[in-house]
Amino acid sequence: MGDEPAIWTRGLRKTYRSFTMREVVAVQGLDLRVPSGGVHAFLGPNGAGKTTTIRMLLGMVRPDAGEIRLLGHALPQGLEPALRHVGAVVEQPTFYPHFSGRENLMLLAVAAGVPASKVDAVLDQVGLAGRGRDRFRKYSLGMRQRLAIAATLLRDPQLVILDEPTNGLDPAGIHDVRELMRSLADQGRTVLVSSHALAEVEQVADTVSIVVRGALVAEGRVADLLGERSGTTVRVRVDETDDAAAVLRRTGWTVRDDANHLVVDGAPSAAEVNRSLAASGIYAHELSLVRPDLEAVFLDLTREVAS
Amino acid sequence: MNLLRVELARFYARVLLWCVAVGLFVVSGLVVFDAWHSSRPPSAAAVAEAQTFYEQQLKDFEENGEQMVADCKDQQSQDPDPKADYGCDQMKPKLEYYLPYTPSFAGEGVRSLGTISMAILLVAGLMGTSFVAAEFASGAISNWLTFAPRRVPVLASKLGAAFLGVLPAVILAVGVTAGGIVLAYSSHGLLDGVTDAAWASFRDTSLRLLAVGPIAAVAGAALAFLLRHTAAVLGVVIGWAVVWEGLLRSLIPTLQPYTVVLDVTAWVQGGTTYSIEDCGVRAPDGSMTCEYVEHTLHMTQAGLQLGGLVVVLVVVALLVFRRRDVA
Repeated sequence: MGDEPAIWTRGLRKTYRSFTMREVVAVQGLDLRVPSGGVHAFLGPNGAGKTTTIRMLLGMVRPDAGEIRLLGHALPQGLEPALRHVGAVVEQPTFYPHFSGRENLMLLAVAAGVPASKVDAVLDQVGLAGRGRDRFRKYSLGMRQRLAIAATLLRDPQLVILDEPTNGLDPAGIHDVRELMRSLADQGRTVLVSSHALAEVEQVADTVSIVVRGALVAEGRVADLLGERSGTTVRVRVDETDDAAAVLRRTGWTVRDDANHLVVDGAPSAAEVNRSLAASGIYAHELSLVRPDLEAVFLDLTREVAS
Repeated sequence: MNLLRVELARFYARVLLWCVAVGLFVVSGLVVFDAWHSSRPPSAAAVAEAQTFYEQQLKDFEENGEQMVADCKDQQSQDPDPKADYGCDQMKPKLEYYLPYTPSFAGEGVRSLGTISMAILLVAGLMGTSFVAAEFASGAISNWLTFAPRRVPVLASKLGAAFLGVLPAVILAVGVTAGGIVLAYSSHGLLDGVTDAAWASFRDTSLRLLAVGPIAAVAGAALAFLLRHTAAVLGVVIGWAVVWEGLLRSLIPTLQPYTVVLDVTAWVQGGTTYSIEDCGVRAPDGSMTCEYVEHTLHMTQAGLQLGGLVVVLVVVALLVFRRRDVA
């Protein structure tokens, strides 16, 4: 990964005004750093300001305050040279319904000065080679997503921004998009993916930024983020659940029932849990360390901010 | 040029625009039919009926005409206006007074060509509006701006596509209408003796009509950039028509030369007239009298006013589109 981040923002802020002049702060002082190369997940609950941030990065929405650098270009002055190397899908893919998928891409290719041969190449890359001549309005949601991704690849971008790219895709489609993101990153490109499919993102993302209420609450490598919170939850199955729960609670740990298991939070390790139970003559049938996933981290962080 | 090429391709792919263009041709057909119908020579039955009526009136005049003329002159002499002319010397019936009126090519023929101007104005304006507003409504403009981020060229290419895109439909509609009117008058033998000046007027009206379409399309597209929805543009246009072209024009008649309808009429017809009521004390007895004073709206003034309006719309659309968030 290079030194210059692919995306860098400082103090980014955007406020919308409703018809009644009520102000809604969509993004407040966002400091975002997306390193060059690799897949960067951009996560946050609905209304966290992800799409607004992406729109500001693409010059569609004017920030109220803050700075943006995109591929080394300061915006808004450097928007045009920066976007020559960016491919982006924002929210729902929107194309012209009366044109075929291929014709839609041809129009974009003409505007971007991309050779026509590239159109067929990217259609093939996203698995739409056989349906490229169908009209866009006949495409399923999944096909629309694929076409949108194909459009992002037309200009051989250094940075690909995908906003909810797996919406409407079947499991095979989700897998294909994941593979595509990985292969793009392996080619040295940067992929910024905003998604709610945290399990999917976790499998492919190298780094992550989590935003809540328009502000950054966590960022870093996915492995580091998960590591910071690992080893704190142990799942145990015993015959004497009530007695075991009482023993474990006496040590100061948090215990809750989960079907036939007890889930213990706050213990330093699984061995400590086992030792405490054995000291009281209770022997575990099953003992496992619960590895936190990105979803758990995400939910913890969003709960913390909410509280 | 690449952007313009793309926008023109999109323009012609819009089914709605083709439907609207077909509507314009239907209007052209109706204008031609009306020209043909109204330029028909009177039928033998109508001529015979007119002849009978004329003979009855002539007989009546021969019996009572002297008294009728005297009564007329008497009433004329009592009029406070010394210049009043009651036409007492022209009371003797003539056959042409009773024959159905046959329009002339130089008069009604040229004027009927102008009747399609409002249809062109509305259809071309709707084409321009729909072309741009659909992109905002669908969100396609967002996708487009990631490929073409410079907004001034984007706006210019879309306005350019609206301008050029409506031209074929407008050329065809004006061609069909003009050709149809010529054929209609020709089929009734009414082109004999048409002067060069009348032909020149017909040609110039046709050419000025051609300009109405593209300018209206640009105005419609500019409004769509401002309002982003076809329905909103239609609402504003209807509101304008009701308030400015209707209510205010009635309440303040001096606003007439600043209405779009009169400006377009003056532009297409090479100038037009409008009347303003003028009341004042003119009679010797000191009573107030009112009369309608006719004013002329020249083609150049009308053209400049329409052009100015479109330029203002385009400049405002440009300023707004450059700064506005696109979601």
